[in-house]
Amino acid sequence: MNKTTPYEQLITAKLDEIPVPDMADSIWASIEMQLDAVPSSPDNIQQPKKTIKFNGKGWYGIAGVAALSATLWWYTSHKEQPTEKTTPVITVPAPQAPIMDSSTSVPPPEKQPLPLVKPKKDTVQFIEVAPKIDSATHEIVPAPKADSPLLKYQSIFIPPRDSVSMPPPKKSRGVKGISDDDYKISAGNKDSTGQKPHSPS
Amino acid sequence: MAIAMRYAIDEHEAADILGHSFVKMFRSIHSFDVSKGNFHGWLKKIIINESLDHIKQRSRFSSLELGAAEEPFVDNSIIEKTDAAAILRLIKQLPPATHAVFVLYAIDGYTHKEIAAQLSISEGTSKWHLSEARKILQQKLTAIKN
Repeated sequence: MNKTTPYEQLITAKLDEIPVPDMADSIWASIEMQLDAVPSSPDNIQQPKKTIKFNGKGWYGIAGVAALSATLWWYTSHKEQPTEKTTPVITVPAPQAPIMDSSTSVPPPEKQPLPLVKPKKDTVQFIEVAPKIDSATHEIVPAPKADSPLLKYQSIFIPPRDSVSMPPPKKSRGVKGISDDDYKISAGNKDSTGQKPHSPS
Repeated sequence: MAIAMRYAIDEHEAADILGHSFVKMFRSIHSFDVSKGNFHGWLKKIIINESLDHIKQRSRFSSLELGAAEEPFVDNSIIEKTDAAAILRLIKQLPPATHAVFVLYAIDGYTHKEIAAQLSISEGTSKWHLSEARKILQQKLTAIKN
């Protein structure tokens, strides 16, 4: 099985005698046609390789840019949220009429210009902080008289304009009970040196 | 051309094989090393490889193992009297895989190991194809004699 038989050697010798068909022209034509197509093919093969390499790196770059932009967006969006939360929304507490006896009627607070909160363009809504006054109470409570003793308590019921901007009350200086007059030197009180000396008698 | 005609079905396929082989030769002429062999041997190898590529495209090589096989006897006088073209036609009537293995082994001098590597089959399959080719050729040559 591993050796060629004598008749196989004869077959080989016979096959070498086989006349070759005259197809040289057609074979050379096909070879020429294939070789003419060869010069363009290496360029065509190399160009896709280059583009594939470029695309591969390009995809990494695009992915990196996308990741960076997503991170920046996430960072900025999380950074803006606290500022939105801390946006000062000024809500002035609505002054309420104190519940008192009918005898001690409290005059209504003076009408002050309504503080309007300037709305932001998009997020903060326009809030009109108008003190809601009960219409019934408003009508019932009489207007304060000029000589009414309750006028001295009026300042108590006037709502502060802005609790944040109110300056702290001044502390009284010096010792209580001593006024500036106590420090004045009167002309009547003369120095002991100016007194007439007593006569020895 | 004679080498290509051993493996091809007809003249047109042989011409196609030869054309592709020459194109491959021109493309890889820079890789030819004189110290490794002569140019004729190098070109013959290119033609045989191209022929096997054509055979692989048109046929399947199933895995077959050869058992105990007797070597068929063929009278040499029959071959001597027979025309070369007729012998070639007999060889081409073999199944494609059997045909390729027979030509590679008996005519071009490949070993079973080399055939197995070339055709991606086992050595046992190569031996089976050779045995099958010898049996078929013996039957056909005996038929010519009668």
